[in-house]
Amino acid sequence: MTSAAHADKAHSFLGVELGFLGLDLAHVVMVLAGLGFLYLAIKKKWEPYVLLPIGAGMVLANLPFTGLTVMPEAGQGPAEAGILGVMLKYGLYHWNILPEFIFLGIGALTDFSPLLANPKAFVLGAAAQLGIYTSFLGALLLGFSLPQACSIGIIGGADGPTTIYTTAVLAPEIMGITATAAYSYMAMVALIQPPIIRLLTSRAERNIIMKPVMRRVSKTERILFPIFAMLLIILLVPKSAPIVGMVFLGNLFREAGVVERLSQTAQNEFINIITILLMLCIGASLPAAKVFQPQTALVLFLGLAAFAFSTAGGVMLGKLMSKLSKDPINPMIGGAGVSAVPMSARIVQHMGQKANKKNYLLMHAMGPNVAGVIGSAVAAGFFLSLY
Amino acid sequence: MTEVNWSLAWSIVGRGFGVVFSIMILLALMTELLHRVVNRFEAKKKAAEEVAP
Repeated sequence: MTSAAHADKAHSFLGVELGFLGLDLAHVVMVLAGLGFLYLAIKKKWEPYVLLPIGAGMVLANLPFTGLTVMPEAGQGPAEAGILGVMLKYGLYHWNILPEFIFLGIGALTDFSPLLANPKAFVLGAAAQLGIYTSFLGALLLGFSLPQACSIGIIGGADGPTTIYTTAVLAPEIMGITATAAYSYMAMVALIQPPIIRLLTSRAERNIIMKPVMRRVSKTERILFPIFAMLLIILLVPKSAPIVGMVFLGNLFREAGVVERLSQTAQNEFINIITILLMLCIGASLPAAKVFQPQTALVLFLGLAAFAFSTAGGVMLGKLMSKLSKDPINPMIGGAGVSAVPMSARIVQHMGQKANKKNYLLMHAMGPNVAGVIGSAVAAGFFLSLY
Repeated sequence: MTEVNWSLAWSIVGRGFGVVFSIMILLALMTELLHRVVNRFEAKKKAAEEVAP
């Protein structure tokens, strides 16, 4: 009798394989962590569209003997691969198409008008990528390889799909952890960003009231922007094309005004279906064997540091612009340059209101916020072009 | 632990941050230019419509 057959016998009762007999401590911890995600999503309403399917994927992937995460291989018999394994292999590891599809939906959902009305916000969106590079260096210092360091750094872009896409290409072995870190910290921006913004700004700076009226952005500008921006970025950084191309194509659907059904589909059914598939995959890419390694804690720490430094980078440039500009600029809007849309902008609005009831910063913060989406895509494209 | 080539790492940081800043500045300039061109075009169109019977 083979050792595998012995193991099967040890886990079976009356010839039936019993899952709980195959549970070990690592599985139990991961199932509990998955249930924790479900709790945060359902009870606390923390990013429920993301954390609920991730949590469910974690639970399903860590239950023993299910075969759900078995990936399809050549010569396999029918029904030998599991549904999560098929999704993981073809959606992420092999073709990596799910994150790209998500960008199409993100583009269709994004209104670039606040950015077009205030182009200075582009620069704030660039400064708020600082954390990508500090965590990249930190990861190298802690012994990660160059491709892994790029993947960990990109968490600082605060953009889940960009993190998934980059890691799936450069360092698929840590994809589950980097993706979970990115989405978890995006869910926690309300806890991470305010202390950093408060630390770096004085009360007087938080009090600064910005001009309430932004200029009108014409429909022609909104149509031409995604076309020209896409051409400019892709011609300079071709490897950013899968992200940038999809974002601006989705945005063109939205702004063109002639493909309303496509725009509505990209904003609703399409992105919802892809979200289910992608988030289940992320949960399923967190089996206990991959998570219980010393590098997991380091990735989580570096990801948090990336978020913090990105926020700091945006705020510091906001302070400089505030000093140099004729028009009043509240430096807090720089903190919204991380691309956690629209949470970061809402946090800045909330903090502005707290400092001064007459302060309405939401639309001013939305500019750097959507600029951050472009900035993190460019940063990812640059990392990808190294390989 | 892998040996780190720090000069390469710092060069990636410098070039990477430089690329992000350069592209974002170009996008800002492009947006401003786009605004001016579209404004001028729309103003001309409006003037032509007012002149036309």
